[in-house]
Amino acid sequence: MTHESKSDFRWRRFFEILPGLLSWSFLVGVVLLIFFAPVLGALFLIGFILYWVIRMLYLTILLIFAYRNLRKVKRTDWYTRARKLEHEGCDKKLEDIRHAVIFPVFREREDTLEPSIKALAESHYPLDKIIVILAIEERGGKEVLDAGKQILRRYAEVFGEFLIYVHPDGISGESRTKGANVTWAAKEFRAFLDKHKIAYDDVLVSCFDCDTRVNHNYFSCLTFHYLSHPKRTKASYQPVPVYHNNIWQAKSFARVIEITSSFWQLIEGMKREKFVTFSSHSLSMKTLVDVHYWPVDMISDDSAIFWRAYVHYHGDYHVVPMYITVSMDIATAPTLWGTVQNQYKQKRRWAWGVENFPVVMMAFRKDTKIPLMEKWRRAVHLLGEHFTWATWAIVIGWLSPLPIIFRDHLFAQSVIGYQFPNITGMLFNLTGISIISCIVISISLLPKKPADVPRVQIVKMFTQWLFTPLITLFIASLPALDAQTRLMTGKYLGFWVTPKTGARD
Amino acid sequence: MPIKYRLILFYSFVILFFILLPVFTLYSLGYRINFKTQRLERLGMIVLRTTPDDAFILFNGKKLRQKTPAKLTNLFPGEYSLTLKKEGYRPWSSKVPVKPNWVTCLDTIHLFPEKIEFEPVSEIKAARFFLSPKSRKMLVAGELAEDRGLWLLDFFQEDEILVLDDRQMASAGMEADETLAVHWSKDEKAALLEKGGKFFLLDFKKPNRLIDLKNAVGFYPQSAGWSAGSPDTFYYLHEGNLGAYSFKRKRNQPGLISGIKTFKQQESFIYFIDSKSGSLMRWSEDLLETNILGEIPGYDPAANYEIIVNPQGNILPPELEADVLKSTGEFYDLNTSKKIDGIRQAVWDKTGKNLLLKGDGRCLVLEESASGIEKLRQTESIEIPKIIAQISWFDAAKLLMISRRSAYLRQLGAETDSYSQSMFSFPSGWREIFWDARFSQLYFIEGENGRQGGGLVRVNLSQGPVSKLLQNMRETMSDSFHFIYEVRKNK
Repeated sequence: MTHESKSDFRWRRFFEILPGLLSWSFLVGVVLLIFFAPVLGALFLIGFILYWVIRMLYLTILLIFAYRNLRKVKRTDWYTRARKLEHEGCDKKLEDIRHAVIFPVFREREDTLEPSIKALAESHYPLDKIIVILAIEERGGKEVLDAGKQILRRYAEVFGEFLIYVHPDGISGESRTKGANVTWAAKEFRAFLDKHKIAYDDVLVSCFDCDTRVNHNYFSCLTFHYLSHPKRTKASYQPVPVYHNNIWQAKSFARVIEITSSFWQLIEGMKREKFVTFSSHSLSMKTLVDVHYWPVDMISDDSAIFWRAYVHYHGDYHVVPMYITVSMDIATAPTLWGTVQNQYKQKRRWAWGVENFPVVMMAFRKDTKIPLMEKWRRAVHLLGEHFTWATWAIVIGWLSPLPIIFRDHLFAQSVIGYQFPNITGMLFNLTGISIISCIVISISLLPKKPADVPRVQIVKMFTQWLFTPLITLFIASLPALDAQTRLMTGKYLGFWVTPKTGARD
Repeated sequence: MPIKYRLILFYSFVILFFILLPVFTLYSLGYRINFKTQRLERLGMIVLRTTPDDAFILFNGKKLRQKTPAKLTNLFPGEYSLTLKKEGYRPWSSKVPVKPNWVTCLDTIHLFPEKIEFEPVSEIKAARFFLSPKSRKMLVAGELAEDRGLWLLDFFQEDEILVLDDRQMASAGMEADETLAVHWSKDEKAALLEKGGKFFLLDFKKPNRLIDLKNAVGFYPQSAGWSAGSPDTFYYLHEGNLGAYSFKRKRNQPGLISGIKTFKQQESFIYFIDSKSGSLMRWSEDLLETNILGEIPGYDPAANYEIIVNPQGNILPPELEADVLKSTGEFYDLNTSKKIDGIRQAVWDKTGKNLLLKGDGRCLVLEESASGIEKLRQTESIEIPKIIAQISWFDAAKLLMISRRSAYLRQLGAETDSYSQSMFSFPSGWREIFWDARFSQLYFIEGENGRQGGGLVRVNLSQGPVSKLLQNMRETMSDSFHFIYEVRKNK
């Protein structure tokens, strides 16, 4: 563990406090404005909602373009394209490229993991070039290891290699996070590569969740992007996470949340210069070794690895969006309340990505090679994203009715007092365009309905969007504000493993 | 999509936002372009609510598609002529001013039926009657068949019970003459009877059992008023101290506030005058906090004062909440520190925007300005002909004036006296009369003569026969009358 100086500690705490302080100050400021200057408060809210509606329309257009990319990617024969690269002067041969896929396993059952392995086995890619790594947590228990071995026996002959690494519990300097587990596996795998004299930049490491099921073209698409990239080891490769494993079985409430999460990733992929890795992603083994693997003490290892590489390469690192899907489980539970709780906890864990802000800022302080403007742009964007996440739904859902509820005599008698609900109502109606677009795209992306699922579920795929206001109120911003408050007050979040309850076919 | 195109799209939306932001801001604040003058002008609007609703609107002589209740928006400042028509009701017309940025709120317009129906309330030969504040119940002193005494009429249960017989009344010295006063509890399940400085409590669940306050509390208070929060508790004033008594728990709490001259209870507030300083103060039952509302100019500790509380007190700025009337006929508007002489009574209308000050031979109308921040200003001084015996608010724009034989409406702001034409004539005059502004109904006892009881009659001046109104309510009602009323009011 590195020793932190007093000055560093103060700076780190400052950057930890800043996001939460900003969000809370803004929300309290809006409430005070509504109470003490209701006309100004109402004007601010109208401006904010207008901004939000325009932003929604802009993002909807990006979503439509992203969806078009997704369709295009689906029709492409990536393997042939990757092969053609050799004739186009690519310095690497397709045959040399190997794919290592790490599945971190804690206490997930065999029936969660096996469909993911099966999806790998169905890949349209030479399976002898795929190395499967089960990164098993020792604290998960012997049963988990035994289940891993069972799978190994079934699939050992299918792939080039099938490795199991057990991550010992209680290593000094580590937290109980997924990052610590996959880092251990990656280090062990490095020894394997050294032993077999395989060049690191010939190996692409995909870090998945144990419920991640890849599209059959995933590795072809990934290989193409890797080979065709001029700085291939200075990039991460990000697929689109969709939550289709149990989409026909999950609760409507949870479905809408996860669909919008997928859409958010699709949209983010359009903003290449700001894109950051999220959930399942791939990168070169060389990069991993260079940046010393995933952080072992952070919960948001998926985005943290990007920032680590970004700082390591002094800003010369980015994420390549691949419009190819990997499918995961929707966090759900047998009861609606349980589902809401699981969703809340999962979103809070995602929002805990705000922990990257102090880490990045501390690194920026010490780095002299990243241009100042670039640092500023990245910092503002990172802070701005988390600020918006924690505040928008609270302003729109909770604070916008306040001028009506608490209107005083003066406000009630003014034109704006009467117009306010009409204007905000009209603006909210405009978001219907975005919701209709979301419905159409979500329906067209749906996997085929399993035979045992009743037809009424098709109707629910439309009616589920009625949950949107409820989600806006409770799941959209509150988990993010919760995460920022915890970071601000130093009550750091522990890693919460999302229960995997996907459809088991 | 290449970054270049995405940035073009992004900046297009940024520009769109900055174009729309001032447009929405100005629109919200009521600004529109007047194409006639080619100038940006700030508009106002009119809000119309009528009882009953669904009245046609003639706006500057042009019939509008919408009916009442309605919001007439985007109106340039000025004066507009407005006529409301509904079949079976007399048309309502007025010149309505529209001010920039402000809403002209005409939300208490009562349409007057063309045919007036008098309706007997009960078969009791009544000497006096006391309507409850929620208009749900009535205490009637009178005679039915062989039984004489105080009767409780429940309009919702359609029930009449004798709650206090004649003998009990006589033994308590509570004869039903004009000095008898009734203070209804908030749930209207009990009442305090006051006469000649004596107070008795009557729980309607226990008929014929009067509780003498001298026995319960130990003395007769100077005045009393029921708590809004706990229906079995009333506040009382005794020797300058405010106390509270809960008759169900038989618990007395003397000395809640000391040094009080007089008090008035409304909603969960108690308004009182501090006997030393002459400050008008307000104590909250819920928050247990006291605020100063104003100072009585030239306060005289020896004089008697009455506190006039605005019915919308809790939503008004504190300085407009209440005024004070001195028993010698001086009215103090504490907001302006203005004194008006010769005032015997002050009555706010239901909206809490207009105050009627009654004196001898004239009345004044004070109107709160549209902005609510300016002070009350006098709008009208009306000479009252001698034939007028009673005067009350009919709605926010009209006064109801009653002579011995007829009822008249006086439109405020009218150039000529509109009470030269009567609304209706009383069949045989009246003896007791009570205007129930809540439901626009007038209660009276027929006949002008003597001490003998007369028929108790009511007439509804906007909804048609009261029995129909009550029937409609009963069909949709829960037990909460107030709730239904609020729903109707906000419809």
